Amino acid sequence: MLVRREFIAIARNPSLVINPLMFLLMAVTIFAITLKPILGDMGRAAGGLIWVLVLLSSLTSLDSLFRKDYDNGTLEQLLLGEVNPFFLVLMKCFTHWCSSGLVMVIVAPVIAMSLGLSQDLYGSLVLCLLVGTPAISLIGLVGAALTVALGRGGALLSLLILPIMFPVVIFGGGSIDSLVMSGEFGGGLIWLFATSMLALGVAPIATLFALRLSIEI
Amino acid sequence: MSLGNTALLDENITVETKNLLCFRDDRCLFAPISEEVRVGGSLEVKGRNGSGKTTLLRALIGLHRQTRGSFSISTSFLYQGHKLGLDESMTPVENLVWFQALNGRKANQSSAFRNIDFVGLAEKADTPCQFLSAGQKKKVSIARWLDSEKKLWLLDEPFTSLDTESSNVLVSIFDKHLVNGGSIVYSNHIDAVYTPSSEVRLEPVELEDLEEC
Repeated sequence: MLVRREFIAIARNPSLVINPLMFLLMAVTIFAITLKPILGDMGRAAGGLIWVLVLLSSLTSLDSLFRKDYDNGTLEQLLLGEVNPFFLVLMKCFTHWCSSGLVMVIVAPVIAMSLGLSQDLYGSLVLCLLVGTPAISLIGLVGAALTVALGRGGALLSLLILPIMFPVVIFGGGSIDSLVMSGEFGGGLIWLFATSMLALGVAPIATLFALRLSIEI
Repeated sequence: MSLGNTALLDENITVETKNLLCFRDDRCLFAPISEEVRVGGSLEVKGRNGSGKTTLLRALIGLHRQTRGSFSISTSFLYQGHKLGLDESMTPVENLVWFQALNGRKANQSSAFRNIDFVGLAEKADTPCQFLSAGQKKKVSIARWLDSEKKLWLLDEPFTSLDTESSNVLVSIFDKHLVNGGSIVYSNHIDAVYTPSSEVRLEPVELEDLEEC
């Protein structure tokens, strides 16, 4: 029931899904029309580019993750309720991932095509994004929880979490690069998976602490 | 479920405070509060705007940590702050069902509708809350308390934005809850809507008095 409510909330407010997605597609288009005529195809730059764009477009939806719940008081009720708050944080993360990471995974082939990535690599790119995007949602959750009480914390949120996202972009970009170069993932995918797992272990606890801090005002 | 920093000896006491002070940025908000609420009892927290009514309620449930003195809550509680905790995009019934699930009860559409009907919002039961007035939203939040199993209700300004008729309904809900062995602590700045079994007025405190606390 609680999970269903989150999805209903997204369904009634589709801008949560559409805005980051449109941002991603626009940014990809800009790169495609500015760089592609010069470079021919993106070649080795594509991997890094894709990850940077996915990361930036996820940021656009993070600020609103807890904002509405904080403003209307449901966050208090969530934390005072009888359901384990740890579960609630995981649920929030899952729904955010479904509305941003998963959607980007689905449109990944379109991005790859725009940037001139070889067709054989589409499947591997989808896998790579599938493994790495949960880390973005998890780490973003901590930042969103920390800044939710600060009114418009958007800029601060980006400053806080972007440095922590470096490993995701490095390993993600690296694994796509080795795909382009050798057709194999190399070690990048394993490290990307490790980053997601580490985030899964640490981020929900940190989020819970941050949320408690935020409502104790 | 218990909160606070002293153990309660008497089972009939649900809330107890001894010389409780609340601070905000090192400023003491009100003179020490020593009160107890018994099963079936109600406590009205009075005071002018900014006197610390909300802070006191939040301190009791652990959402405001800058306190001195001791307090404890010995039973399961329900808290209703100024922010009602309603999702604007959801209908009243959906909000009630969500609240049931959040508090570990089986989601029950028909009892949710019954409670909405009880507070007089039946015709708005399927209208998203963003289209309701302040008073109607308040009634939705009241409907959520009706089938709550929580013994202690901590309510911040429950009578604000209610019309006379709805205030009377709320008074009857209060009476029923108290008869059923519950207890209520609520803040109020409107005169004589409900007659509580005890009341406390939050008075501002002078700096020199504070040295003694």
